[in-house]
Amino acid sequence: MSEKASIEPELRETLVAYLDGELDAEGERRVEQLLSTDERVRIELQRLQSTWDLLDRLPRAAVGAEFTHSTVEMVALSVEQEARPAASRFGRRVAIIAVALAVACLSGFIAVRLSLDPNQRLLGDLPIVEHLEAYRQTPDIGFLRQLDKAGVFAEESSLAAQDTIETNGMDSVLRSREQRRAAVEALPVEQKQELLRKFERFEKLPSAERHRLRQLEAAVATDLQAASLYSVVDRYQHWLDQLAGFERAELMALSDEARLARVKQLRADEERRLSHDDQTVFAEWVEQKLLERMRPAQREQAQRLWSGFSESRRRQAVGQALRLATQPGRARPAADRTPDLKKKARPKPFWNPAAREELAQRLSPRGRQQLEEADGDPAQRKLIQSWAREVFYTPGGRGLKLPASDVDDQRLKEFFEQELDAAERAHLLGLPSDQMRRQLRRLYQRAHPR
Amino acid sequence: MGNRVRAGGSSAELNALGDPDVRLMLQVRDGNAAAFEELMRRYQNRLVTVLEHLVGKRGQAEDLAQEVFLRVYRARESYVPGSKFSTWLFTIANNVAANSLRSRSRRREVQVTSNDDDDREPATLDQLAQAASGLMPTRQLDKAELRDVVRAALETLSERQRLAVLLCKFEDMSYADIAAAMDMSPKAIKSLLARARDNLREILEPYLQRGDRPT
Repeated sequence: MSEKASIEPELRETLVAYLDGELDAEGERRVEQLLSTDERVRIELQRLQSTWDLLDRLPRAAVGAEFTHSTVEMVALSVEQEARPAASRFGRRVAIIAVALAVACLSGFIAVRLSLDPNQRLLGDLPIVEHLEAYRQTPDIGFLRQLDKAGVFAEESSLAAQDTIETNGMDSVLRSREQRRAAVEALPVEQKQELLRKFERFEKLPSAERHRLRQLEAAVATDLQAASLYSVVDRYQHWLDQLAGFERAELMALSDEARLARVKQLRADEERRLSHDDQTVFAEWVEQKLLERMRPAQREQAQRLWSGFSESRRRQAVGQALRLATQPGRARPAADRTPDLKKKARPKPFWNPAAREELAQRLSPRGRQQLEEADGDPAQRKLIQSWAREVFYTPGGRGLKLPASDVDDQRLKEFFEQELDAAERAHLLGLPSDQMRRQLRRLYQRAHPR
Repeated sequence: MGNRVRAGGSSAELNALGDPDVRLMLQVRDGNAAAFEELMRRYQNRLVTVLEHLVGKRGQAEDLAQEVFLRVYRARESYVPGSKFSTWLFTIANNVAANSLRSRSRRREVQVTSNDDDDREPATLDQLAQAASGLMPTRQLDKAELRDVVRAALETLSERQRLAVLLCKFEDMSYADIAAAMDMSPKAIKSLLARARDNLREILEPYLQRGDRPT
């Protein structure tokens, strides 16, 4: 026997709308207030939700490529039938040709694909396919010239050593087909698969976009600065490869001008940023300096506590201690306090010249160079403060800002890359940038409820 | 001739252009066959899933899905973006499925479980249990059995309730989008879904409670 509902239909409607996220903020507030005071309503909500969740048990269809092919054939056939009645003898011939073309097109270009060796097409478009992201994110040759002029992907950039990129330069352009074929065949399996994936993505682009990319590549190839521009394309591609998919999509969604500014800004941020190893060195140096300033009992307690932490938790704890130690009026030894209590004392920074020299000795050549290039005491202090912000207070990411939330960029990036399947990633990447971020955050929150 | 198919209200035209599927459909309109294939790939599983639960048969659901895609293709030249592509697609699916269910009902080929009265009494627990798993006594439900019970519960809903539930649950559509796809008002969708969920609760809850306490 079924149990009858114990609440009024209007209230049930409201509860269902609440579960479906269809109430405005005021409506939600009212329901939540009701839920906190009325157990009957709370139980009803739980019952509605638990039976609704059971619908997740229903199977989902997966029809596959066979269905796609038979559908496009059916559509093509229907086009033929539509064309037939009105066709004259001549017109009918035209219609048949049109239908043949339609079938070829609608069948996923099957006929075209058979008539042309895909390998030949890959080799022909190899310079584009190898740099697909870079070309897709390049509106015209002027964009590349500006990147070149700004030196953001220049070989002499201080990031060049870190980039560890083997640039092809004009190699892939100048190579003959046979040489290209040999080069592709010599690639390791994973790189071949990656190349194939890029090729498939290229082939799926609208024909107008493929045409644009070919024109762009041809313009680069015939430019007087071709070698330099190809080097920029190589490095730009390499850099884009390092970004998370949604970061690339976000860049793509920007206007050409805004994208150029963003790329420059991100590269400049990276120039100032420490490498992973140097971040560790810096964190250890700060921890050591903080411990040195503590009283023995306090030091022993902190050492004991921090040694039991994971690396990230330890960094968080050191960051908190650093914040306290550098806060005006806090953590200053009593002896140093000025008698004037109205005047808030600024703690003496522990990154004095001797300590900085100690840090410089531990950093990698690039980190050391950055520190030495900061001209004068204030500049070095500013640099160290920015490193402290980066190491202790920035939760990952390249500075692409997300709305304020308890989920940081790094975590979202990992979630996107490691926990979503290919279809979900493709779906997200197909969304406009802001919508994609909202959806990604929703998916994350659904997968990781508090 | 010449009347363009408006996929939703004109006020939403600009917003619709933010939908990547709308942009794909515009490419289809401009003769890009690959874009049509891509749209099919994106929607075929989702469409067949909804249709299968709506008409109850996989083969028929696939036939109807093909019919939906055919209509989309035929309408390409007169397509004007006005709402999300998915809303437009499921509007077509709703029409195609409704026609099919009507003609099936006329031919009396099968006993259609749907009922025009949204507020009718749902099937009893025991009817459902028998329908789903034979004359088995109550016991812990295994996965397959539970799936069958849920499916049977869904089939007791009217067509309109069922479609609203499927679009809400599987497509995560808003009430406004469901209303557009089903040619109803958002307020009516709100009532429809509340009744549907209450019916499902009434049917599933006692069965589950007994299943949880096997004798």
